[in-house]
Amino acid sequence: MDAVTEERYLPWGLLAPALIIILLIGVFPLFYNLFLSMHFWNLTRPELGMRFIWFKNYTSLFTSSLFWEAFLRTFVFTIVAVGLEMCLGFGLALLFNRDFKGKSIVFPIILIPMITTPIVVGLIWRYMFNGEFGFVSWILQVVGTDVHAVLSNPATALPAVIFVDVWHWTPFVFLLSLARLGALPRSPYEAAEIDGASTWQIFKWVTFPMMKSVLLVALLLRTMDAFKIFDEIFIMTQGGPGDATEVLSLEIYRQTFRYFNMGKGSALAIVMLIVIIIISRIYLKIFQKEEAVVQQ
Amino acid sequence: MRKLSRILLFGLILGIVFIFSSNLMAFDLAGASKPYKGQTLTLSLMAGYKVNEVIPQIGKEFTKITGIELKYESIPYSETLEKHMIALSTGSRTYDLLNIDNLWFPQYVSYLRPLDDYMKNPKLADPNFDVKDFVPEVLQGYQWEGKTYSFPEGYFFPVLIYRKDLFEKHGLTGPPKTYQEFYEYAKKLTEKEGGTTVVYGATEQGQRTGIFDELCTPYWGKGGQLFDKKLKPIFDNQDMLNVLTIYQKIYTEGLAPAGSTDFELGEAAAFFAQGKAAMMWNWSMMGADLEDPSKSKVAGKLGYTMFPKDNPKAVHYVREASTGLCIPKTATNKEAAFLFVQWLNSKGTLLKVEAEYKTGHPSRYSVMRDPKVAKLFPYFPLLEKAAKDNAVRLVPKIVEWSQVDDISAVYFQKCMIGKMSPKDAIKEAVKGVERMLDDKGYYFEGKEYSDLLTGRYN
Repeated sequence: MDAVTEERYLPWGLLAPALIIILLIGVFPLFYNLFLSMHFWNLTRPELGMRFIWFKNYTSLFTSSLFWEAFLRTFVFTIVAVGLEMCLGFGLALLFNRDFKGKSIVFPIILIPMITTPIVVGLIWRYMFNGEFGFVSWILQVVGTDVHAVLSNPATALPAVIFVDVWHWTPFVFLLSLARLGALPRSPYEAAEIDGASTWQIFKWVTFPMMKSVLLVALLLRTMDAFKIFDEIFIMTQGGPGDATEVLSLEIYRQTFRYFNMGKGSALAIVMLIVIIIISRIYLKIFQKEEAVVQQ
Repeated sequence: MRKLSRILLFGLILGIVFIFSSNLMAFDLAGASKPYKGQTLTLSLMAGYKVNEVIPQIGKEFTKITGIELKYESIPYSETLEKHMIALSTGSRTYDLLNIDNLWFPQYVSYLRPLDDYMKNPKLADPNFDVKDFVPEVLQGYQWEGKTYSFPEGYFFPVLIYRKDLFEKHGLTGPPKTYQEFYEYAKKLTEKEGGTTVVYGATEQGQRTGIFDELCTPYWGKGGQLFDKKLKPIFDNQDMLNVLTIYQKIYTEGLAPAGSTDFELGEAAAFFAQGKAAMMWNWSMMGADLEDPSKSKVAGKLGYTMFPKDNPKAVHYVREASTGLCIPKTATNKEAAFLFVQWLNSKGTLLKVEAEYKTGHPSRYSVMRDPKVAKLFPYFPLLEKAAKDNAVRLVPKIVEWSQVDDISAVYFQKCMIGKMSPKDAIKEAVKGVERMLDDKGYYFEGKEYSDLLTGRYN
């Protein structure tokens, strides 16, 4: 083999194992899902087989009011939950960026929710919110509110699952922000202090601009994750009461593993994927813009 | 003297013939299972059913006799269908026996192996098995197009369980006779102390997997039908409206606990066992634990009766449920699996299961009539009466039943908590069910379906 041929093919040869794995576990399932989304295939009716039906699964979705309600609910959940997580996480990081008594004790406690698996989180809060035996219900009764069974009331069920998600993932934003805060250069602060800037001005013109990139990464990761929320809601409410907490991922689960409509479930998954791609593209665009500003 | 010796001789011969023939008739399980000795059966069991907790214990006896090993996997009820369907559709050979709720049986049937060939095979079939001893409708739950796929281990249906002591305390002489009366009783029985409810008049099972079943009982008690002969949903009528209105009132007026929207059979029974409710619609088998003083504060204080029905002319139909072990087509050890199913559901084993482990849901007449067993469970006469009255029915035997249940449940749950009017909830549920069945092609040819498929009861 001459040097030119080797130079041309060697990189491909070296990359081949990784590319094959990516194709098998990443690209193939995606295309198979796309293929399924254009078929009728019900596991409980194997005698009917798999039938190509073009975009019927998609049209059936887009004409269903339940789909649009679930879609809107997922957006509301994501915006409110992620918004709160960002504010609280960043706020806590600012607080922990300075020394105070008991910091070493409080710090690991704050991180506990993040290291708990979503199923356990769902179970813990399901029992905490239980209308008869739950701690939260007991407190609400003592306080004298009208609603005790938080998860049984459509007006309070969605806020309750948002609260749980915030409890679960605020530490993630907190940790990411704290790590970045600790690594910020000291010189801009010294310059600002010499110029006589107030605490608020330092935060607004020094800290926040330097934190933007990491906050955007946290926002991107949390948005993608919150949009796909499943475990906690499935354990806590199964989408109920009625359809008060029915989000897109639960609808995918229901179509695929309850009704065994593999085609419709796949179509839903594709729609969800497209939405997540659009959101992440928007974030990345903003991120690139911010990076460009910083570099200037 | 001669006459006496002749009689004795005749008796002796008769005795020998009897012993000989009964020996011939007796089934030799050890002999039949010899070719399969050393095989291992993998069973998938649904968690939460008492009989499934007993099978691993009693199964040791089967292994001792046959040398066939048993391996168990326990799956929560809510995950069973999903896990099984994935295994079956991918052709997995993991399981030799699947524990199936008869509610889901139509969804499984394409993947299962019927037992008829084995039952005709003299090398495998126990001649004393006596299929006719099973409650026929319960057995029907596992039959499809004339073939049998399992023998049910359990037979249970929803009954009214009530606190006799509280009834006496409030001057109520007997259980309610109509659904309206059930509501009025619930009002009388609800006890408050300083603004807090200490005893609720009733429980409700508002969880998405429980609400439709609970509503169907009083609806059928009015003589209502879910579908017409063409499988079009027809429960948008005055009967369902009355039922749902009362159901909603019980919840919104605080006669049932606020957490009822999260209750299914287990949660409702646990609440009731703590003495916090006076009446409960629940599956008969829950009585087994409710009568156990180590698990229940209300043991010995309970009455059991058929759930009230409004139409005196309507037969007191009950929606029967059961579980059974079925053999998938892909099972590795089918014959050994059949021997286990046959042994487990034999009169002797099922009697032992009830007598020693008190599961409380006999599927055989001989077991529910056994005096030792019958005295353990005060509700057994109800099971036998329903079977005798030809009142035991299955849910409509269509593959999509779970979807019908689920679609309706969403709207009925909204109605229960007062966020939708009963009229709108029923309208939306009927519309959703009809759309789904239309999508599945049930109305293409406008054909009429059998009563078994439509679940038409009257």
